[in-house]
Amino acid sequence: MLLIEIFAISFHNLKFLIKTTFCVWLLFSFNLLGQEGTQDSTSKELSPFEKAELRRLLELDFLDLSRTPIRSVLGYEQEHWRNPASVHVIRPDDISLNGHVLTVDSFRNVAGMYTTRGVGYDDFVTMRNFSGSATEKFLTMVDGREVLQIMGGTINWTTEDVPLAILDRVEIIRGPGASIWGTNAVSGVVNVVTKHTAQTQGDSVRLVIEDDGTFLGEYVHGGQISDDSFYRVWVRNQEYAEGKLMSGLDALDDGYARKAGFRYDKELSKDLELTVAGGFATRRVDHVLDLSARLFYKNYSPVTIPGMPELIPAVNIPGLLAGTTNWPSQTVSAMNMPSGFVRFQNYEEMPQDGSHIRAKISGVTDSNLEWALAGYAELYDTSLGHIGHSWVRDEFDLDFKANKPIGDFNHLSFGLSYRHISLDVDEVVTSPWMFPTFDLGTGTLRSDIPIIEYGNSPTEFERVAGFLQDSISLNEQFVLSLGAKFEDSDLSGSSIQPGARLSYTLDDQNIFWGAYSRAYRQASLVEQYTTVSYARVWDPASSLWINQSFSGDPNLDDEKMDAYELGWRTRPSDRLLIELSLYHYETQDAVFSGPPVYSTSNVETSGGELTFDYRPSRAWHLKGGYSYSNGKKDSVTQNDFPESMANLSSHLALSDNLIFSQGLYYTADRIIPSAYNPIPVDDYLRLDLGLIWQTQNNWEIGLFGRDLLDSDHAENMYNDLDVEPGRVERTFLLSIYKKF
Amino acid sequence: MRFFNSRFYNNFIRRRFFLLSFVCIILGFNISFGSSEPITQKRKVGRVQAVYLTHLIDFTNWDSKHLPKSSKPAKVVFVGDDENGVFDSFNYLVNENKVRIEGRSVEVINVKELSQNALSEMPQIVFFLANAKIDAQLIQKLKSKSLIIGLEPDLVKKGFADIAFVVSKNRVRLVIDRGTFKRRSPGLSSRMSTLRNVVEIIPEK
Repeated sequence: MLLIEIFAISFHNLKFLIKTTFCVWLLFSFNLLGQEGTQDSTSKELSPFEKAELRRLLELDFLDLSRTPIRSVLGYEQEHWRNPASVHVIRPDDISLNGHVLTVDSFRNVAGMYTTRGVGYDDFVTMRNFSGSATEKFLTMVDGREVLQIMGGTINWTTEDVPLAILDRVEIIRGPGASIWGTNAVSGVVNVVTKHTAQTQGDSVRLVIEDDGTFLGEYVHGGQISDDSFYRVWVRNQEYAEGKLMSGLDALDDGYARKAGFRYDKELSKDLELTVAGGFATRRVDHVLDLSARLFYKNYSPVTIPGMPELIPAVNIPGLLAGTTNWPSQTVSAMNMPSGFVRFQNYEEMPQDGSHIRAKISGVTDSNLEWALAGYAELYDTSLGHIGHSWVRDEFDLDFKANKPIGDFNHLSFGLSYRHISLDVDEVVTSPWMFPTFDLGTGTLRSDIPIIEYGNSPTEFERVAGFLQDSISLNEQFVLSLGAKFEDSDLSGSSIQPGARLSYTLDDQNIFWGAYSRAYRQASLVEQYTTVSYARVWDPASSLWINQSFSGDPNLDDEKMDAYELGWRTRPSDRLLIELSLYHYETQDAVFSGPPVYSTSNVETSGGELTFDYRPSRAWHLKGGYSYSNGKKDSVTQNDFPESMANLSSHLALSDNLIFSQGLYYTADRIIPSAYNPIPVDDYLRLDLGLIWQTQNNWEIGLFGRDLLDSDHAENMYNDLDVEPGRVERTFLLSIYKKF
Repeated sequence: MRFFNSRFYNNFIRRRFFLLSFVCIILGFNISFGSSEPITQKRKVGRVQAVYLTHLIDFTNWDSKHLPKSSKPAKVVFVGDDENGVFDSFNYLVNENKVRIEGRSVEVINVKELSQNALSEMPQIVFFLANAKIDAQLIQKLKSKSLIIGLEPDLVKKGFADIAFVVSKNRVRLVIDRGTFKRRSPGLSSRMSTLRNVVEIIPEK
């Protein structure tokens, strides 16, 4: 803890430091550019970076080696050590050896990413404290397919996850990447890449069983059709056991998520490949809408109740709810609620079905033009039964990307994409809300006011985008990347998003980099077009229930962010890598939800991450990171994102086939924001321990204990919808994994 | 056409000077600082070649008659100038991963020229680097006893090497003499021949 405090103090007031250093860095770089590179690499020994790169390359098979580009575009080959960006790569071992079940769990090991759980099936991920805690303001792609849900601006991490056996890597780029990745790559990019089917031949099984009954099963089968064509099919089943809310109430979050997928790869000719893939996912869970914090008695003159606040939960007023509806209720001691509070809640089904298909044809021409043309089609049917809001989304994407070395020093990449989205939105009034309520908007009594009303807002959206980026090797020490994305969409109009990144190789062991980017984020459809009726208040003067609502703003501008980043990457030896990344973001028109409106604010965020990767011996591998972040909304410090986070993982080979795994995670305290029910979340320290037995025939059996220091703690909930978070409980987990 | 009336097109036209400026900047930098092919690229090619070579050992079979006594290490001889670090890279991989040839440890050496002395103990692999002098007579002595690898595809086409590397389309790939798959020792696994995107097979010379 002392160490974390020291880091926090060091990181404080980063804005001045980053901006000043950024300017000095630019001057320094341009001064050095005029000088010739001093490295004589013809006879030099391998640098620690090169040695580490060799170890990585050795893990590639012949097929991957033959696909390794000699010259690459910054932003594509993320592990290149001269990359002027803050990059973290998650490999399948980072998931299985740490006792993580889903890919999203492994984000807890990424400095700067804040990963939390609400109820059993709700995972939330935010990056670098960017304006809010619920919406994912970074771009997530699975094999190039953008998976952000346009309606709420969120990602369903269960639906989009893939079996561990087919996962190649997850590249996480912290910081804006708009010039190459496009809109919504605001606070970062998460790029999930699956393996080629030739690498998944045979059968693989993975079973994960938790002591509370939660279960995950995956089966993958891969085969060969001909010399040049391969396929794989897979199924996955996840069963959620019921957990508890922090109050002790049942969370009623049991259910299941099932998924199946396929992929077919064919070599049409030399350097011309076809990939067709698809998947179908279905999830059946329930979710609660707590009504007791949504019905209030207005305690004001002339009919006052002495000693009580201005708004009193209606359940505490005897007889007030009589005749409205008959809801299930329990008496509990809930978070932020008086002891003995009577809880009224409405559970409804929250089903989601999603399917997609994609086809990609890619190749390299004799003139070294590497290109890929991909098409995606998606159909998602989502229902939020507890608030009576559902929608069907059809989406079609066409995406062309190419890159080509120009001369010996430039590598140009460019692309064009088109997207069409069609929505069919439906809203119903859930049964507890079907009672006459005065609607201030229409001035009438209505029994048909839905919680979220989309009305006749637009349902067809198009987006056209193009990007151009050049990676320039200025000399042996400097690599410059210049680029811009041009985009026009029905949602956000036209924009140009430029970016510049520069890396400087000081010597064999040290690299510095700096970047400036401008990025945009579209406001979600909910933020632009919906009216949210979040509560009803009984007015004793008029003897009426009055509806309380706030509306989205269709004229919301895109969030515009100017980002300054600085980084230092050092390898004192091939066994130790240390990276420091600092950032300062200035965001205009950042959207914040909550009554009375979806308001926009100017936000400044400063912070940094310090990470290391150390192999003290062949048998021991340590990884860790610390992150600090401070956000100010209209010059007021925000407390909805933990200021400090740290993680440490250790894998010690006790023998040739036995690994002892340790994971330690620290998260500082914060407040889950809410218009009427903010919930403080204490800091927490999580310890995971595991023992993994790896047999010679590719079986891996692991036994893990998670959250061993604490029986349970709170992490997150949907603010303004949920009343309290679910318990994240201590669990014991058995993992049985047969690799290919 | 809907596109030409679209907001995107109009904005693009209005803002095309941004694009023009951007292209000018890129071209400007290109002219200002270019001098020769970056050494970093050459060294990357060397690293990929070294990894190929490490993998090739696992796909090659040597009979005992083409191996040293079990107490002695197998030999990999690099001939010529190590311009792109392939020798250093391979040496690192061998030491780091305890690479073995048919159960024997591996000794890696770099000589300027291949001489009769160097062949007193027959190497298991001979790797011709840049500027290596190719002696046809010595090659004949090595043929069918050592796996001969070169940097240039012409070496395979002329029958001087079993395997060579080709750098094209921004990738490093292999060119292999078909005879290397047919012979028993040192013979390449036929599995290699199915990797069409990795290997180009040249008819026997």
